[in-house]
Amino acid sequence: MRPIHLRWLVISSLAFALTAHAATRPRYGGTLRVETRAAISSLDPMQQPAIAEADGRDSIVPLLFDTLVRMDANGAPQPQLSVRWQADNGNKRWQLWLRRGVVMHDGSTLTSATVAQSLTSSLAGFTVRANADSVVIESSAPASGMLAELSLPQNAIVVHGVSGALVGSGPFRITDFQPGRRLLLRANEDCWSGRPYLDMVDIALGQSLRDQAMHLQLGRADVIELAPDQVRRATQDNRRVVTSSPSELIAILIPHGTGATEDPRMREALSLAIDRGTIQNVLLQRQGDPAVALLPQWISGYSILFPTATDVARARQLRSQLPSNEPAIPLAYDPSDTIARTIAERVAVNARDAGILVQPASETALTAQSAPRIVRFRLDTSDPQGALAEAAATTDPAQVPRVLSAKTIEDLYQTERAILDDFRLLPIAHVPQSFVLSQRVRNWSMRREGSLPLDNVWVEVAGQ
Amino acid sequence: MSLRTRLVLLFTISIAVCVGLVTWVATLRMRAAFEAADAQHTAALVAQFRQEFQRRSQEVCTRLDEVTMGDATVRVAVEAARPQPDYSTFLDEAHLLAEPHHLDFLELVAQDGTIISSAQWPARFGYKEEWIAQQGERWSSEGAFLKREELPDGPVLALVAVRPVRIAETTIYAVGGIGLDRQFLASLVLPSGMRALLYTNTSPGFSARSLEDAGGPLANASPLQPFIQQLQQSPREMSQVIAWPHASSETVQAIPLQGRNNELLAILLVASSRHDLLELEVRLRKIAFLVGGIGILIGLILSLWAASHVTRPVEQLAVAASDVAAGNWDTHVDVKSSDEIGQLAESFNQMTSNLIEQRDRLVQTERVAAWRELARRLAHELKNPLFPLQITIENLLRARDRSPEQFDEVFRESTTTLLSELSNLKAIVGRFSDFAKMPAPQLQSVDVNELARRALALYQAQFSAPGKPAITARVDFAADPAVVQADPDLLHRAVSNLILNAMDAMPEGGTLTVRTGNRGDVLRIDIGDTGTGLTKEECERLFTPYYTTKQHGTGLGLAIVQSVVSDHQGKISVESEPNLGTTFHIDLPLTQAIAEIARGANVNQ
Repeated sequence: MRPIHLRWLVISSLAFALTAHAATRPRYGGTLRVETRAAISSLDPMQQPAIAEADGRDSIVPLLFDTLVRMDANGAPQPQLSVRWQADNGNKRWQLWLRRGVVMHDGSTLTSATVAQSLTSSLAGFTVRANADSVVIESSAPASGMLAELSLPQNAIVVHGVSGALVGSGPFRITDFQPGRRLLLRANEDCWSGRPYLDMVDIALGQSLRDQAMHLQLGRADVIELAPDQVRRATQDNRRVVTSSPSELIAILIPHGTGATEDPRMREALSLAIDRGTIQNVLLQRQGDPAVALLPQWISGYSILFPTATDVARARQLRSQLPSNEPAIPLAYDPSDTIARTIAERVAVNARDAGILVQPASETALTAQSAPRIVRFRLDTSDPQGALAEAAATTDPAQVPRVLSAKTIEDLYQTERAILDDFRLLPIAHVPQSFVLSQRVRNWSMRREGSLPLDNVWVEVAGQ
Repeated sequence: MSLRTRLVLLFTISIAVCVGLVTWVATLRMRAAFEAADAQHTAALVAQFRQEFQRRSQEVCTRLDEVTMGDATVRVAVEAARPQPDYSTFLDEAHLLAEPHHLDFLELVAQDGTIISSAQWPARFGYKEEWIAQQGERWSSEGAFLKREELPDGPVLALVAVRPVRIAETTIYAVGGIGLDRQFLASLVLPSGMRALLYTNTSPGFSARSLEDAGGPLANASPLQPFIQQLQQSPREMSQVIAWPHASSETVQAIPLQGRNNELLAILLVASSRHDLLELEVRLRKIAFLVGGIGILIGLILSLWAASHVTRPVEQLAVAASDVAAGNWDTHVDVKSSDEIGQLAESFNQMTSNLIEQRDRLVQTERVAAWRELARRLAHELKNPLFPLQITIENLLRARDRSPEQFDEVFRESTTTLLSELSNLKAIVGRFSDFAKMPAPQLQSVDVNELARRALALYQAQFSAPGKPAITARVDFAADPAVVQADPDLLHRAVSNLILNAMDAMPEGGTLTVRTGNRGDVLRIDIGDTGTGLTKEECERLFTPYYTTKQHGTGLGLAIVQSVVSDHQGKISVESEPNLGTTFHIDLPLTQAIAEIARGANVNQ
């Protein structure tokens, strides 16, 4: 090789290296366009909307509002608005010292009074007091899971402004909110954790998965959701797919007063008839795990103790103990959720093997609150106690204090077992949160629980 | 009922029956023709269905062949040929394949019968369809067949075929088809008034929800229930007339649709509305009624005319006959026709003419006979006194010639005898004069019982006269007042005559019975004896003037009685049995009209 060639090679390599470095270096500015199925009607974390809407909202809440603590990927509490904490008196009294100099979106400074007022609204059954630069939370029963509870989105610190505006301290502030349609966020320049790279986040609400895929294809969206059964195909198509740990539970929720399913033997028979392995393998395209527990294995570590094997013979035996002329059990599903529909249909097929008639029907054709239905809810924390408290709040609120008072993982297991033994909630699968990203999106670091990690994301801006 | 009415009725009924018969026959013919046409339509539709069925079967096979030859199916077959196949990625494959190939149903089935992908029921993946695997490669040569396809919402009827796809040593099957539902029914081109229904035989009994036509499930399927149940028990082609409530009936032809194992999967029902037939029948019935009504009206007019034409001469004849019966023999029937009625009328006229002539001759004869009898009677009556007169005068003359001394004595005796006989002659002449001059009755209310009682009283002394056999008088008068309008003197005279006759008839004594009583509109007076009785001939001539059965009778008594009774518009008759006695019956009218008639007669006199 001649020297002239070597020189050019060195120069070219340096130029490429510099260019590559420039491309991977974070840049401020730009708007990230996100689309979601959730038709969020309110951003107030204290409100309790339908499960699907709550999940969508809870993935956005961390962008706007901060909690006192957060759980890291290992479920360990990390400082957020509080910098340290202390529990005494058998975990009945918790004191958390607040971070200094936190500026709220309206320009005010975070105070213990503000925090106490916010937590008093969200923490039912606890007494919250402001104490100089700290807040004190007291309960009549031990609350060893207090930090996990405080890390949940519904316990984020929110100030209700004079005109009803929601004021937080998160990395983004609300610029425009059209309930169910659009949410426009702007970077919080005064964020205590530092200004995010993005200038704006434009979130289109209530978008079907099909529309989202089309918008991504047309370059009108940067981040879209992906159903679990589409992950394999999208990956095969070389899309930029990012996936969380299996943090979403798909289950059948059987409310009280639902006819044939009022008999626990019928509920148990139905649970035993469901072929969860096949659902996970085929319908969910091997995404996630079959589930008979509320918490996934990666959070609790004990879900393997719950047997997943289908037992149709036992289901038939239980069914035979019940009147043979029971009417068909309606099973509602969200008509916009194809996964829920196909799972409902598969459950109906499985149930038929056990002699149970299940009639899948869209929620629009049924009264959703009074019929068994397919539910999907995301666990917003990787801490088992917090996650179980969150799940219990959705399925069996009476168990929440017991969850929070659990001291050991064994206690949590027993509590979860108690929740599930009633067969009001029949877990089917834990599935991950999956997104497809456009080529503009950079530095997307997927969190295990699946919330949007927008605080460190930046986008390629044309011309830069 | 008169002859005319009967004739009119007969004609009218005949016309009505004729019209009814014609209508009935026409209806029968029309129904037969309609049903024949209906059968032809149904047969055509059934043939069309079979043709359509064949066409669709062929289409299903062709489409399925296309599916099996496609890359997607081959990919699935290749995956199946792997040692540990992963079918999860093919979950939607059947759905993706079914749509472009226009298949309602499509399943990709592994060699062992496990469903890899199902278009119609995606959730059924992993379940086994062993009947497919059992047939193996032989599916290649089999056409489409009917099958009950299980779906989440329940079973439906499908026309399916199975095709194997072989890669290396492994075979997968494509099972696809189309639904036989209301859309299939809608695709059949039906003549007006016909419709096709499909009953999907999903359960052993009858299910109303399983019966639908091109518009969907039938609102009211119950009228078809017995028919369908019959077909479920013995599946064969048959037809039946089905009556629908609030709609016209239909003729329904049933075609059982059976599966590969001859199980009854569905029943195709081709219904042909009988609306047109019924409408035609109604229209025909209306026309029949109209024609019948007009026919009856015309028949009525014609029959009236015909009846009058026929019956008028008969009626004239009847009236004339009644006149003749009433004694008016001078009756003439004016019938000019030359038919039997005309001949009858002519004969009638001839008969009355003959009768009149005979009557006139008889009257003449009677009159001559009467005069002869009168002459004989007069001669007889007058001869009896004349002979003594002649003897007396001869004795007087002989006495003057032979013994003038005794002449005076003889003269006195002779004059006495002459005067006596002259008186007798005078009496005879007077009786004849009286008969000739019977007075007109002077009517008044007369109690006949009282009158008869008084008449009997006159002869009471003679009933038990010494030296004579006793006669017992027995009366039996009516309880009600027996009052009639009559001349009391004439009636008394008549009754007395009859009592006297009865007494004369019983020279050996007996019982004389006088009885009165009402008999409808007449008052009857019976006067009977227990004498020797009369012969039939005597009875017939009894009232002839101057006829008598008695040796010294004038023969005028009963004639006078008859005259009196006749003048009172009454009737007299006699009953007699030899050796038992004779009874005279006088019937006098009780009506006021008689009095008026009598009064009128008096005025005329």
